[in-house]
Amino acid sequence: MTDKIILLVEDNPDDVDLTLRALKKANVLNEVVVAHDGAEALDFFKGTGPFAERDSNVLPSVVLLDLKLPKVDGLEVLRRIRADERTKFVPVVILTSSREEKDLINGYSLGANSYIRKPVDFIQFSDAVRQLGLYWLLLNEPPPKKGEI
Amino acid sequence: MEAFGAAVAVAMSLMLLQMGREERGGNVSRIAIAFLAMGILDAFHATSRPGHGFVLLHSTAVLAGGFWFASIWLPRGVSEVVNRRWFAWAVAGSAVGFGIYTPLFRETLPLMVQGGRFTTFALVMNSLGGVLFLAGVLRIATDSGYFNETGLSAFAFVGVLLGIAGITFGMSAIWDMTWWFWHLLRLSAFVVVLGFVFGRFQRVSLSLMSTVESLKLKEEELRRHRDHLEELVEERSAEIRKTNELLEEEITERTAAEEAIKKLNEDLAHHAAELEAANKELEAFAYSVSHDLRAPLRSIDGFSQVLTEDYSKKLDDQGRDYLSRVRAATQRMGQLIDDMLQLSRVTRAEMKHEEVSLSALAKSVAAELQQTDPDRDVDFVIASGLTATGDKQLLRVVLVNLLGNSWKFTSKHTTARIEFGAAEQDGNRAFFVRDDGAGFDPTYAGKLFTPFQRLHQTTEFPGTGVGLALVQRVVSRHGGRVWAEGAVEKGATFYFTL
Repeated sequence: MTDKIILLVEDNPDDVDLTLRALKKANVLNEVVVAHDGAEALDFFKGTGPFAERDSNVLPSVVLLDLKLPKVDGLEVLRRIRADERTKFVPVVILTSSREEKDLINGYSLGANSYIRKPVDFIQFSDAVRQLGLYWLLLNEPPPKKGEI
Repeated sequence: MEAFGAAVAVAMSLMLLQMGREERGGNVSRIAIAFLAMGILDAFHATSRPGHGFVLLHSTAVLAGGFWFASIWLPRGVSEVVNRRWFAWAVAGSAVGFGIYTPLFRETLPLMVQGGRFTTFALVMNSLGGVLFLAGVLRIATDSGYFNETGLSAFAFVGVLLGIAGITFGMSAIWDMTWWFWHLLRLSAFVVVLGFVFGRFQRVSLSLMSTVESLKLKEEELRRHRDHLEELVEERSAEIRKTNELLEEEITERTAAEEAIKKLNEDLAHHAAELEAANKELEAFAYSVSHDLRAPLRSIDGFSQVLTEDYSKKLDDQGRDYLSRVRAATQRMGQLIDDMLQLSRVTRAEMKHEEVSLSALAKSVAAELQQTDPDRDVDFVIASGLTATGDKQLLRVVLVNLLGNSWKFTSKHTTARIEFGAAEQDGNRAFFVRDDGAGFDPTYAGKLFTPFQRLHQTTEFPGTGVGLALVQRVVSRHGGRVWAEGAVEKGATFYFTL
């Protein structure tokens, strides 16, 4: 289980810290890779930029994706992930402050697997993150990797 | 005397000829020819010296008169010839010719007087003339159609006189009693004719006068009409002028009004565009509020919690209390932001118009409320069969807030009754939500629907003061009205129309 990684796409350092803390408190000890904007998230999948050292064939078990991001926004990142044959099955959970109807519709239309609204109450937020980790890393069967079939 | 008779006869004949042309049968024309021939020959008779020619002219006059008088018997086709002007001229001409011929060629004439007495030839001529006159009279007298014809009855009498005169001629000798008798008869005949002519003339002149009179009257009337017409025309023209002026005024006014409307429309379009822009801006603002304001709140709340968890040992009770207050405030602010967003969403959201069962909506909301605290003893009384046309989502917001308020404001009572129904208010159907909870001070009823206005302290009853503002917006978007009745600790009733 520990070889599974989480990609957190979040520009707000406070949210990054709080999310990481919540995961740690929930005993999710897997590697969490943080991309601080949409462009970095795309670099992660291509193995470019800050992720040039990475093996781009290792895909995350889940992507926690904020929508409002600098450079390339969350929905565009989602669209590119789904457009790429290699990454189209990667589970993507939208984790955002917005509950706007149009964001929900756009998110699901582009193939998001889930949509979570970040609660202001940190206790509720921690609980949500804990459940996410448990669900996507333990319960959910990820799509088969290439070569495994 | 004879000359007088001749003159009368000629005048008569001319008049009758005129009449005859107007009359279709031609009978009057024939009588006219009779008088014409007789008159002219008698005139020559009267002016010639006594002798053969003298008697012959007279006898010819009688015979010619009798002949044309009797010609009434002839078929009507003859009239067409008789009616022609040249025929009268021909008769007159031959009479004049004979009159001139007689005294000039006295020797060639037949013998008319012999030894103071008339010859047989003269007797025959006169008697024949008389008989012919009487024959003509017979025709007029026996035929009622002729008898009633204009003037013919008078001529019948004349014919009788002339006829008898002709016949008695034979029994007379010059200057004897009989001679005077038939001359008298002839004179009488001419007098009758004269009377007739005079009467006729008078009638004609009378009728002419009356015609002239009536023409004058007509003219007068026409003039009056014309004058009246002029007045009318003047009146109408004035009216039309006035109407035109009014129309012009109206057109000017309308043009001005149209101009004003155009300007208003432009203003309106401008305002609409401005509103649209403002709405867009508001939407963008709402979006960024939901996103950007919440993010720092999450940080404040999150790190306060981190402090509580990781550093509680380094803090005393007061420190920990302050931290919990920071967290409560941030969460409340988060709630306020959410409510504000909902308020803006309710105002902007597109509306559907469908039949909505308010009873079913109220029942489902009541069930949800009871689930939040199943231990509470609340009696929900929901009237069934209440429907309205509107947007189901928005109407749900109304019931969630009104029933939710009732639920909240009865929470301090051990038992409560919450009612949803409909009532007649000022002729309109109003729905209502009634409870027997904390109620409110009616003095502040006007503030109930203002956003973020509360009549109770947060510690007493929680809330942001947005619920009733939401209700009011939804109701007014449905074209309805919302109002409240209540008193402190006597419950509250919220009415709304749709």
